Amino acid sequence: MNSGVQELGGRELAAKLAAILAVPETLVRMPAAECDLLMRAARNAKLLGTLAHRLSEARVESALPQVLREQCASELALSRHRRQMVLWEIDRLSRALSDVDTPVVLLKGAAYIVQTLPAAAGRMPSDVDILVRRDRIAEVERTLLRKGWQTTPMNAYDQRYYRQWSHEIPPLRYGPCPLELDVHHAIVPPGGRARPAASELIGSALTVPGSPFPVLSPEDQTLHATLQLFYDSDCSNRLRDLLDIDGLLRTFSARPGYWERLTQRAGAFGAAHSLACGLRHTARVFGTPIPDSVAAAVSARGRGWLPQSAFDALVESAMAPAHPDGGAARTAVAAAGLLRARALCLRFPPSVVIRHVAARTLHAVLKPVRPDTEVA
Amino acid sequence: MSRIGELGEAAIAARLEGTGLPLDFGAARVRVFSDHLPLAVAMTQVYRDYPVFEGESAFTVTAAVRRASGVRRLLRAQIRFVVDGDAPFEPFPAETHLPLLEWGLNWCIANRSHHRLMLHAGVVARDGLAVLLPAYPGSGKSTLTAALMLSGWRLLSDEFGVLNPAEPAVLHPLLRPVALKNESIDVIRAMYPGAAIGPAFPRTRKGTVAHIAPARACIDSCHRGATARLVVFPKYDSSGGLEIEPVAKARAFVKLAGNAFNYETLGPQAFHAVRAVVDRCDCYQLRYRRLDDALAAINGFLRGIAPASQPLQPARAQADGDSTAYASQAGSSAAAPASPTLQ
Amino acid sequence: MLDVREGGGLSISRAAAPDGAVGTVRWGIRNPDAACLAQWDDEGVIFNPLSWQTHLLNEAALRVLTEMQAGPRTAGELVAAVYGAGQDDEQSASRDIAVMEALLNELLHLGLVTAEPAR
Repeated sequence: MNSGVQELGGRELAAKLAAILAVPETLVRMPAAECDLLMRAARNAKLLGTLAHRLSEARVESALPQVLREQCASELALSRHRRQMVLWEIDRLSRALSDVDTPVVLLKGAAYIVQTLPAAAGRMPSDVDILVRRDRIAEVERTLLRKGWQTTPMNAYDQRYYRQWSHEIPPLRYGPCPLELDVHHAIVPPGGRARPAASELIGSALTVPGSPFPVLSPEDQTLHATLQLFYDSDCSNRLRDLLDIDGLLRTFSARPGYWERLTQRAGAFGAAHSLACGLRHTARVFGTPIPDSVAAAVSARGRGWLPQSAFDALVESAMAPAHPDGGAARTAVAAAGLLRARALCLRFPPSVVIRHVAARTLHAVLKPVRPDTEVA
Repeated sequence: MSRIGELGEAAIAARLEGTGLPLDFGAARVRVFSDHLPLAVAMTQVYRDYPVFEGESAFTVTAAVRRASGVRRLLRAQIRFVVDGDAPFEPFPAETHLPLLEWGLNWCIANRSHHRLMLHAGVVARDGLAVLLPAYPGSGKSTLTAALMLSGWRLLSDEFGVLNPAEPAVLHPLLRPVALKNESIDVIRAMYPGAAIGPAFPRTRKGTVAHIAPARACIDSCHRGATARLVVFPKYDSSGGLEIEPVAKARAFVKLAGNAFNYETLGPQAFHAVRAVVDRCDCYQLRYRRLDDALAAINGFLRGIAPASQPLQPARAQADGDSTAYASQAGSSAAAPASPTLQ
Repeated sequence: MLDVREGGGLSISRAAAPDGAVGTVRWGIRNPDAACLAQWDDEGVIFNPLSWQTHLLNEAALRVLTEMQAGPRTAGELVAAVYGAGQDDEQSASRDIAVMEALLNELLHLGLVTAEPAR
């Protein structure tokens, strides 16, 4: 294994993936070995479906080696199935919640699908997320349980964690559907610096033709995505999430007034820091066109307690995909660890953080070895 | 063209540790790495007739079986299946190397083959006509598939019935070593003393497992499809005789679709593909105790003759090695049993 | 994996009748261009374009869905198509309709059919 392409580090891999996503033709002009490696990296980074879609749109997939062309076709088939499962879950929800008189807003992947955003193509949603008012969430949960959804099994500690500290109830699942349903009453965990008011989010939700449920406004969808990535996660192998943000920005920036509303809303919600990170990193990786004035205005409002350069270095390291022939680089693992600690601190007072980490560690040790994936 | 068996263990071990060992199964092509020498030895036996080829650098799966590091290693040597930097399964004891590779590769291939409808079945063919043997617990599918191959049928796969939804009449080979379990290892060894059976691996999750190196002719045909003609649902029954029953089309549809790996994933395409298979194939359930009865029955099916049921009588059957032309049976209704003419 | 119900398929069972006046609702196949029905003798399978699941149908369910392929029908019309017209016993006629509506509600729950108020 001594071709130059094999020695790519995480950052270089991320850059190459971004390049072939932007201009799919460049992939098919590469030698087969490099194509193969980049497709494996794309698969690792959960970008293979999107790459397959873009290759198909550019009509160049037939120039790929046959086994790679077939993998693209396979991913697109999987993505189509996931999309249909989301639509089925939404349909069932609309019937189940028809006599609960409270707004229900679609979030994230499900919202991208009903809006038929370009960013939705080739994605692999594994759950459906909805937002309801906190004072109605118990009723919504009861109704869903009555109509056939079931709580996913989890230990008592996790149950308490969800209900007390999180912004969502434990995931539900309707029998044969392969997706989980996550019912949220906020888009970030409560008690932190960012406070996007659910009532404001719901109040600004927009209807979508053909969808029984509304979606968040474009600026709120953008903020949700940036908060999820930069406020509530360890950024580990999250190039996929960054690409989603890039997609939202490109689509919504065409709407008049979007940048102004986005900036204003970020300030009102205490989400400016996350947004500033989002804008910096999508521009860095995917070349997202962002007006300088917007970048400056957002950046002025959002200051974190880490120096920006240090924070960005951590993010860049953690976010990069692992090389398919090795495990995650030690630096990436360390960076993700630091960012995870940061996310926990943002979410909890210190005493709860310690208990949370300790309890999870204990559970991990005592839990039986995870069952083998059943193979033929 | 040189074959893996001709290169020898040392050369194969060197490839596994170095540039990787490419393997072509037909509908999938994989590259394997390993630092575990016993695996190289086993692979040299069980993949002996697979060609050695250079110059391929794009694969369906690139996977590795690596010795696991860490504290556990001191207590009991372990290995992991690693694909694209991820280890999706718990480690195995180091002595269960080949089963880990085979199961891991099957899992990866199944997860990456949604451009095809992947039925869970053995597939054999004669003169371009294919017989599907859907897999169910207790079917004896693997033993039967092995016996069919060893008695002269072309093996396309012992595990996967691979259909292109755009052309559902054709089954494509996914030719892998044939896995045998427990008693069937001895049954096949007794019936076919010349069969190239690799090492036996006791105490796996499925009991004792061994693999048959596929015949060279099957390997060399792994890019040639066969037209689907017959679906036989086998059922091994140690207490009974030989029983053959036509299976109604709707039931055959349910059984085929129900045990496909990715029927629901493919949605409307899968529905039309399974319907096409069920419409064009005669479908039978075959209850058998003796392997050679089952072989004779399947040979008979393809000749257009359905042998009558024979409860509790040992049949004087020999496995048929002819490749005569077979009459095709028109229509979608099952053939009525004719008078018995077992070979 | 198929959704194969107990007894091998969707069947008309003697379940409780749903609320609502009889005969004021027309039942039709949802998304008829995408729903696929395959039939062999008196059994069949139907592909559900909403869930991408496939259901095994016994004779009664098959006849109901085949009838609906021609267009929306009321429960009464479906009973006539499946059982034959002219139930002179009013009690058994309304019982048949109740049973039919139970089946139709099951199909509605699966997302296979829609129920529209008749004009």
